[in-house]
Amino acid sequence: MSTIKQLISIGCRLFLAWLFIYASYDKVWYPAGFAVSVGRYEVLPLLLVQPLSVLLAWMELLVGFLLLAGVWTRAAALCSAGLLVMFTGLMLYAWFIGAGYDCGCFPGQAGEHAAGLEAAFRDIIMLLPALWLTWLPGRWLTLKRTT
Amino acid sequence: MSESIFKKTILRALLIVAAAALAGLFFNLLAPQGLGLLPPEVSRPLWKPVSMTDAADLRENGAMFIDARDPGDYKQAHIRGAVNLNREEWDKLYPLLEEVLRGAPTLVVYGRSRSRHPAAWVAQRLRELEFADVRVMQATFEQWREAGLPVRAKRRRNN
Repeated sequence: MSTIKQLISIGCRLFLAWLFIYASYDKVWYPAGFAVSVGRYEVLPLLLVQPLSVLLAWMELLVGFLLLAGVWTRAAALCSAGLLVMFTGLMLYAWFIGAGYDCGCFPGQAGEHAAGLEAAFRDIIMLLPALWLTWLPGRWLTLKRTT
Repeated sequence: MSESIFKKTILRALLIVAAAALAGLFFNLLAPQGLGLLPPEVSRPLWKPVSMTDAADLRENGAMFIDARDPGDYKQAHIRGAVNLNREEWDKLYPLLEEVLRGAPTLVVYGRSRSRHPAAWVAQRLRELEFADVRVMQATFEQWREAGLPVRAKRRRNN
């Protein structure tokens, strides 16, 4: 793989690692707040809101650390792409129903990131590095050779 | 991407999901701030349930109704005489309403949705604040309206 492609891969990896760790630490440590955010979308039955909000938060954290370490990069990137596709769908749904609530994406920024078209566009942009890494995970600054 | 790499990636992705589920499960079992399967206001309620018919009778006898839905829904239509007290604006609304609420013999909270039970949350908070008789209506606002019970709805402007 060429130097340029390695540089792009490491840039994408560190950016996504930062993004997912930053987005998840508060959700993992204070799961009740994130469960409230998930419930606000009204897409899950009451019984699934808390288990799935916990799973999402921990997936974000785990994916973030795997990307940071460069371990299982391709699989972690695939998971991050899956998460971002799901988030994009949720944001489009929120836009469709005209919801104006906070998207619950990042900690301590209530009201600054409304769920809707703008957030969906942002998620699609973030999907690009995830797709790149799924294709070309890169080998620079990794704890393990990626496959 | 070769087939073996593809299979390995899918397998590893599934392992990541499983590891996240396990980590989340153990954290939430062990940490004091951990979540259960259902929110405590639903799994360990301090309030009493009340049927729609009994709630209508209580209303006739001076019970105060609390609409726990989002303010937008409340503004569109609500049970006649109900006040809006919701989770998102609790800190702002509760101090304004406390005196009125303390004067009511019974509080009946309503508001249900697919993913949330806002009435249960509001009722639980009220019980924690030592309101003695707090009930949660086991019916939605729409069911109340369909039953022909008293409703106050926003009038449409005819331009």
